Amino acid sequence: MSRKKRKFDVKDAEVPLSAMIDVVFLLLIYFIVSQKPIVEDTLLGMDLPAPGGKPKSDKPMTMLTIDVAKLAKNSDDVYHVNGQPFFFNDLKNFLKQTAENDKDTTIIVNCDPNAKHKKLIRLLDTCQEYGMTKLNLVNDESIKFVPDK
Amino acid sequence: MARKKRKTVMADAAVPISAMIDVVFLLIIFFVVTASIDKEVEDEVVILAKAPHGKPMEKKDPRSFIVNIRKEGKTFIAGIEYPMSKITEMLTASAAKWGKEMPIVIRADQNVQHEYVKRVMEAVTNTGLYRVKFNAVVED
Repeated sequence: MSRKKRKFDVKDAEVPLSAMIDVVFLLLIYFIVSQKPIVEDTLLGMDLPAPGGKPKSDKPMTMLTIDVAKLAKNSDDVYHVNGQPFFFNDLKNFLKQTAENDKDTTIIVNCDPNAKHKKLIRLLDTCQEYGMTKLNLVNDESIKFVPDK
Repeated sequence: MARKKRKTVMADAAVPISAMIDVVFLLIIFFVVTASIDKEVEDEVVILAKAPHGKPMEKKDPRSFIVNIRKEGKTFIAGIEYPMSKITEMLTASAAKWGKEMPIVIRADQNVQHEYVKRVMEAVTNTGLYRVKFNAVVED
C-alpha cells in the first residue's frame, strides 16, 4: 500500500503543460489580434478670439489673414491669403518664405463655419512645420452655417 | 499489475482545472486593467485629422479636459453625449477646480464642420479658459 501511494503522489505533481500552453496561446493571440495599433497623437494649439476682441499685444506686427473656405468640388485645395486664392502647395511655399523672413508673423485664421475640420488642421500643421506659432483664430460671422445632411 | 496500470491511466486523464483557471483569470484581469483606462475618455468613432509635422505627444496633462466631436457634430465627454449648455457647466466647474490654465483638448473628427468646433471654442472662451489644443494624428 505504501508503495502505491508514493506512485500516485508523483503522478499528481506533474505539471499539465500542454493544456495550459493551449489556453495561454489562445488568449495571447486573441489580445494581439484585438489590440489597436499604437497611434502617436499630437496637439496643435492656437490663440482663441478674446471675449473683448482686443489684441493681446500692443507691438506693431506683421499680419497675414488666411481664410479657410469650405471644401468645394472645384476649389478643393484653395485657401485665401489676404484675399488672394492660393492652392495648398503654393500656400506652403508662401508660408515657407514668410517664415524665413519673419517667424513672428501673426497669422489670423478666418475659418468658414462650413469648412471641414481637416482643412484647418492641415493649415495648422503647415504653420507648425515652418515654426510659425503666432496663430489667431477668428470667427467669420458673415458666412451662414448650413449643416451637412 | 493490471489494476495498477488502470489507476495510473485514470490519473493522467484528469484535467488540471485549478492551474488553468488561475492562469486564465490572471491574464484576463491584467488585460482588463491595462486596456480600459483611456478608452473611456477617447471616443473610438472619431477619426482624427492627420498632422505629419506635429510633435508627438510625450505626456498627457492629467488635468486635460477632453471634448470629442463626432462627424455629425455631437459632443461627447467620457463616452456620454452632452448638450453645449451642460458642457459649459462642466467647464466652469473644472476651471474652478483646476484653474484657468487647465488645458482643453478638442478631439474633432476630420470631417466635422468647423461650426461645431467653433461652438465648443466659444463655450471655452466664455468660461475664461484659453489653453485649447486640437488633437491630431502624426502619420506619414
